[in-house]
Amino acid sequence: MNLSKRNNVKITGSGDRTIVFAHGFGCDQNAWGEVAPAFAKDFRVILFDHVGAGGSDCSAYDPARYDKLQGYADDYIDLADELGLTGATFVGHSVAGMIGMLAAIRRPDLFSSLIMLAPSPCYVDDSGYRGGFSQQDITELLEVLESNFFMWSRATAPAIMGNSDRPELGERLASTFCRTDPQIARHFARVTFLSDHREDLPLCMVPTVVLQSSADMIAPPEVGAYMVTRLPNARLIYLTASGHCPHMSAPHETVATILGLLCETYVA
Amino acid sequence: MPDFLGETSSPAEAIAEFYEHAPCGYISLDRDGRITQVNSTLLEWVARDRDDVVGRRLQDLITAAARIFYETHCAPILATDKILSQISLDLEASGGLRIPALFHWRRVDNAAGEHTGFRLMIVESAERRAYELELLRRSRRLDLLTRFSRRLLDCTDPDSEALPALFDELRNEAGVEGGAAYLMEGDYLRLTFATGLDQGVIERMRRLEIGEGMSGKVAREGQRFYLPDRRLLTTDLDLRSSYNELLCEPLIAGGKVIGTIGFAGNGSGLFGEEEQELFRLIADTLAIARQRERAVRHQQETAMRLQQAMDAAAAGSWSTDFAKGSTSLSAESAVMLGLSAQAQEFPEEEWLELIDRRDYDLAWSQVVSAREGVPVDFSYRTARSGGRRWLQSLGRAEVDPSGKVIKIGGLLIDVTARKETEERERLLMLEIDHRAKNMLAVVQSVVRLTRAERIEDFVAAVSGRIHALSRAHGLLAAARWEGAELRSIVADELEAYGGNPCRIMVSGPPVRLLPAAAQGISLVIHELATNAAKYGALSVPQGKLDVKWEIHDDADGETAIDIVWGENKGPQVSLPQHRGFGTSIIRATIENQLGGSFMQEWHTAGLCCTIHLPGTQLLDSGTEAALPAAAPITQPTGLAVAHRPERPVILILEDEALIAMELEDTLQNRGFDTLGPASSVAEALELFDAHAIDAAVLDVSLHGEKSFAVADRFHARRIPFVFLTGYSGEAIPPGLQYAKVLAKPVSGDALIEALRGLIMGRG
Repeated sequence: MNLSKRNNVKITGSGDRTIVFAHGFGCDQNAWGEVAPAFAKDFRVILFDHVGAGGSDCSAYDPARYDKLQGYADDYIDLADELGLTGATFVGHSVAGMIGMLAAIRRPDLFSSLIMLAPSPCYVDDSGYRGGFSQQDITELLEVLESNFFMWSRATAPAIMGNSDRPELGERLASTFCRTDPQIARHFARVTFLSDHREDLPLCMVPTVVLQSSADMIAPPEVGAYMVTRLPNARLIYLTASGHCPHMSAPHETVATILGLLCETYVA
Repeated sequence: MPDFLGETSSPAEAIAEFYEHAPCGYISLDRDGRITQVNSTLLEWVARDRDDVVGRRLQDLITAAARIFYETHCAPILATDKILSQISLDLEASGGLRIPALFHWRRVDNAAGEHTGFRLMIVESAERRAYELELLRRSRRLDLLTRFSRRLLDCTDPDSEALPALFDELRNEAGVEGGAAYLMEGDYLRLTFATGLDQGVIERMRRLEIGEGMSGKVAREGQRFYLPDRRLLTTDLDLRSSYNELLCEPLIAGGKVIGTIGFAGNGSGLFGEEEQELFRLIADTLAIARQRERAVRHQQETAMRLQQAMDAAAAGSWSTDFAKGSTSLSAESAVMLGLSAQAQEFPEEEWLELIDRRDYDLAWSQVVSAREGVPVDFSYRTARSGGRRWLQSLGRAEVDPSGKVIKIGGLLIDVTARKETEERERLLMLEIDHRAKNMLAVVQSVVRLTRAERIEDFVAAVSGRIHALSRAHGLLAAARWEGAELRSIVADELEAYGGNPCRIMVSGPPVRLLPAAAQGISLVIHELATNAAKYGALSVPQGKLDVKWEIHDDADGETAIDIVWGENKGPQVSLPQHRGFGTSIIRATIENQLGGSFMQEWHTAGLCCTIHLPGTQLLDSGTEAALPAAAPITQPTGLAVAHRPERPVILILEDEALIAMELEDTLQNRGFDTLGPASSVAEALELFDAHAIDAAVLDVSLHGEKSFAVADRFHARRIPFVFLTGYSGEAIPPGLQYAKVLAKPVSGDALIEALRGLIMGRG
């Protein structure tokens, strides 16, 4: 199988170093639209979609393989091998941060550093651990997803897309939601939000930076703090941007921070 | 401007009033997502004070699940897009109450086009959400049923491949925690699937009588049974599982209950109308699948049995499609017909070319009647085997709704072995019949031809001769009519005279004689022994008899056997005055019937006879029974009689010496002259060519040949003849079927009458 096609890989820019951007749950590589171009001048930039999202080959979606985040991590390892990537900087948003970490544990040679944007090793509260959500919340999330996918896919989407005043909205919806099979989205949501990789944190030896935005309702600050205490080779950087998607809400700050980190390691 | 909001209000006040108490919630957010303004309607919904809300974020007013959705789906869109509508999320009031609502965002830009914040309209949608959930549930259940049906279609065993997944889904969907499926097996129910039940319970459920337990009751009544709560059970129904809420549906196919499916849960009255409808649909779907499964299995079994039957019978299949005008053969059939071993299809009539010409008409008539719906059943020889292979064709017609035959199809079975057996049996029956009839005819001849002064002598002579024939018969029967050992023949005949072992010597190499020779030699030895006992060496105590034989090559280099009968120390013998029946019989037998020669010399020591037989009379000589093509006519009896016109000349063709003698005797005494008797076709044709003949008596079966060639010559010259035959149902060739056939033993009157009729008719 052509993995580049399976994962809708887009390669831009040039440079000795490679930077990979991996999107999180609910998005596709377009989420990096205002961030990635800033790196094209000095880096080879690689964007891709997880299987089941965006422009990936949804027929490759195997519920058994993707029943754990490791399935996505293995996908990245296969993809990196096919593309001949070694020592890349991997920037993963949200759940992609964990996917990158799982890949880095298995194949550290593929990574020079990991940059996790708004990550969480575990979203559900546990004794002595606060992930921010209860099991019930996650069950309800599936209902919310269902409800909104239901609306979009069966009733409203055509109306929105038929709105000639807002063609870009229709396009956006089409690219991020309509092209996501509701079944896959539900499954990915369950796998993501019920995942617990706290035990894996100590195993990741690749230098890691956790970028923690303010007022992130999904990956609250204490989760970021928890992560860096468990990761053997990590540090925490706070962003002034708020929300779970600083790369979208505050692309400039996100770009500047990552560039700063890359120069640092470059100088080092 | 008409005041539509309130008579006392200014427009600004009216608008402010409307904003505050609009039937929807309004929220304004700054660029960073903090709430700057909110209307009273929304504050009422979330049961919070304005101060408590302003400065917070929208995420604080919605449920955690809504928060995740907002962060992962809405915020990314709003980062670039101006409008986001109809997002269905739940507001969460301070007391925990949830208000389902639809959220609509609009981004606010300032004059410079900079993004300064959002305006948000929130419409309560509890009722709409209820519809939506209802729709969702229905669509989920439809999906569930669709998946179930698809799994049923794709699987070979519903119980292991479709039902487990179904019950997994029903657990979430309808609170079903356990279930069981039964199949009707004759007069009981067999458990085929169970889930959520303890092994112990399953053991008690494996087999149910009709009427036993919930499933048995449902199977008997053919109606749904629903128990919303165990405590409501009033009858003494023996429930095997301990679930509180139970529902069982019959599986009905073709109007009959073929099984059941049961659903169980630990709720009480949770299986509402919708669930019951869902269960009913599941039961219907499963019933269809079970029926299909049965049909498929039945079809497979039938096909397998047919194949097994065909394999066992070494059968192939064929069909002729009249609409297509083609005949198809299975690979097995193709092989049987001598074609290559693969399925074949060719124009309809070419099939006939595979049939031996002799059976072509039969096959054609079968095809014609098959087109009228008559079942096909006939055997034919195949052309490509040169007629050696016999096939039986069995077939049935297939008719269209109008009753027209559109196709015939059936089996082809190789019946060569059966045909061969049948043919062997038929020949054997004919042979037995022939021998019996011939034997009767021989006996008749013995009786007629035996001459004696006194009745006692007559009886003794007849019975002695018949016994001799009977002994030969016994020896031949013991050897399955293949032949008899010469030593046994001789020893048997002389047994009666062999009181003193030194008196009779029998010696010679092992030799087996063919049946005719065995019978003949047996009779000859009998005659010689009788004669010796009366007049020769065996009539006196000191007399001796020495019978010996040897095999040698005669002058022509052919194998031959000489049997020498030497009497010694008997009374003085002299040439007899007249030739008695004994000598006639000996000569007729040896010379006419067996193609040999007989020589007798009277020495002072006693009679010495030499019987010379050609090697063709020996079983082991390598040549079969056919007589030499031109056997010497050593006793030209017929030739000796001058032809007198008033006495018609009858040719006798008969290989059995005694019968021939009797025929001669009968005819000569009744006003005919006789020619022959000839004992072979060659001999008869020789006589035919050399003499004027008025009619003929032709034995059909000569040793190893038929007399038809002779009959053909008579027929061609329009000379009448009668056939004599010992076979019942002897096959007479078509061209000769008009001929008169007389069965052996024939009475003298019948023979004479037949011949007179023929000769008169010809005249």
